[in-house]
Amino acid sequence: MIQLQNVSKTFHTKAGVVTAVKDVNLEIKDGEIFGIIGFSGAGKSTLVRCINLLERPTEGKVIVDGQNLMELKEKELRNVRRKIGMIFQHFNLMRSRTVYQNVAFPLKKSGLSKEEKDKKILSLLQLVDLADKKDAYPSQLSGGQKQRVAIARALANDPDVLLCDEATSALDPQTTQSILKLLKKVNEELNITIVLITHEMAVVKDICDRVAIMEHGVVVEAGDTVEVFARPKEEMTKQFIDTASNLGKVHELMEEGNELLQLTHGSKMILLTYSGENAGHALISYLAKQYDVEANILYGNIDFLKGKPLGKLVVALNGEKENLENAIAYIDSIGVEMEVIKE
Amino acid sequence: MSFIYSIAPHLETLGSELLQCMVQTLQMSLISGVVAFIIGICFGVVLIVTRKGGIFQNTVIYTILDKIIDILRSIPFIILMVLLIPVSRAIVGTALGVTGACVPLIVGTVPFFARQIESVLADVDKGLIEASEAMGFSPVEIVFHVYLKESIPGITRVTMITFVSLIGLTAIAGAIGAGGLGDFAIRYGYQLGYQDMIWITVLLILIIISIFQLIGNIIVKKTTH
Repeated sequence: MIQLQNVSKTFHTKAGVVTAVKDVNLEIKDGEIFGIIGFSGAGKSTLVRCINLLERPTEGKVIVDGQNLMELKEKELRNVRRKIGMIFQHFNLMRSRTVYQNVAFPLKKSGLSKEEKDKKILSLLQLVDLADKKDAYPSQLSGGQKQRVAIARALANDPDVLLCDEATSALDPQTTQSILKLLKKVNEELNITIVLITHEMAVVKDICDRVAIMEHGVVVEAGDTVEVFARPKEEMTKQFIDTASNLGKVHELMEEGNELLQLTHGSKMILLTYSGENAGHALISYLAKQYDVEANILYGNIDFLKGKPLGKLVVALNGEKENLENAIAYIDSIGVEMEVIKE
Repeated sequence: MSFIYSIAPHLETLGSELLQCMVQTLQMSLISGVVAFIIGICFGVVLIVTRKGGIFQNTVIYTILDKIIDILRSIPFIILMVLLIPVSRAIVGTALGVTGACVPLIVGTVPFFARQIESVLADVDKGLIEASEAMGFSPVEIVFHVYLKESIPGITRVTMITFVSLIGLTAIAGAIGAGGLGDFAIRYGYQLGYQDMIWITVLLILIIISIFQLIGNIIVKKTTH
């Protein structure tokens, strides 16, 4: 559906040349929800704008539906843009227009009759659950409602793709959930490919089929969401996972020398990562029984990535040296990922 | 009526002339106001779209227009009027009366108004422009449907401010042969010392401005959501 080939974008500012996006290659498949995650300043906003050429890449190809947008004339590009919906962090609704008029705005150039437009707008408002607010002005709506209006507006021209630029970042966690649900519905019912960028792990892990992690303008890792987060290869990816769980906090406390995390002589602190099939295994009690190893759970967390569990446990293992080694060998053998944090 | 004449004794003889002068002031301010409104909005729009980061970025056009506005704004109006006498003659055939005053009034008002329009349009959220571009609208459509439509309250507000200063300019124009209430006040109030005529002139101008502001306030109220 969307292919970015060697896309780079540099800005010339007073402070010098800034490379916001550097040699990015991505392929986004038809009908999937693709997440691009990164901390602020990673270049993800620029990257998503490269898809509809709001930012024209300095180099590379942007291919949407088999067409290289870089080669199009202004007018052709405008026609393509109508098939690429976009929503924003700050909603960008027109204050002087009602909800109904805001959704009607992109239909100005559609060539539909007045009745057809009316029908379309009402069905879109129905879809986003705001039919009763059609005559309200944006200033009378909550943040979540505004984003719903923006989604309805973005869908008005029956786009194939919906770009979401930090669409939930200005919303509280509950509202975020409801917007994500709506996006999922849009993806499933209307079969619209969604590209969303975010700095929130929660967003990615809930709805993205595949994910790319960005840092300093470069995509450092990309792939299936569960795969990437269960077995992160890059430091950046690990950091993100840690911010989502409290694991980052554990590391922090350890560095501060928190007494809860002090080990007695001869014990080991390990991090266990479970995913999918081995998440249900009664490992801890088995270790105690079989190897006479005391396992003290210091931290535990289970995330659900696209409905599949991903568990993290920080455990202090205490016991005879030999028993400890046997226990660790056993953990390794059953395919639970393990990392010794401290000895 | 006799009560009014007892407060303003000169009204009885000068009443019809006063009325005529008021009509002249209204003519001057409305004709030059409408023309200046249109030109000012055009210039304001050009400034916004051609400036750095605008949808039609063009440093040359921006810089030229920007400088012209600065220069025209820095010339005191009474000097500008004298300066523009040949221009008025060339365009409307005379430098006298209501017709002759319109040219300098427009030239005196447009730069001030264009600057204010520029600042009103600059307040339009950049995100709206970006969203409209993403929806496939052309720059011209964005100017009309987004910049101007979203700025109606702001445009109304600066139009009211400009109108008040335009009334002020018509009075100055009266000093050098344009007629109107300014001319009336100078002739009877200043040169002949008729205090009652000064007061009546002030009252009439206040009424004109109040009516205009009342209309403006209604528009602002109706279009702000």
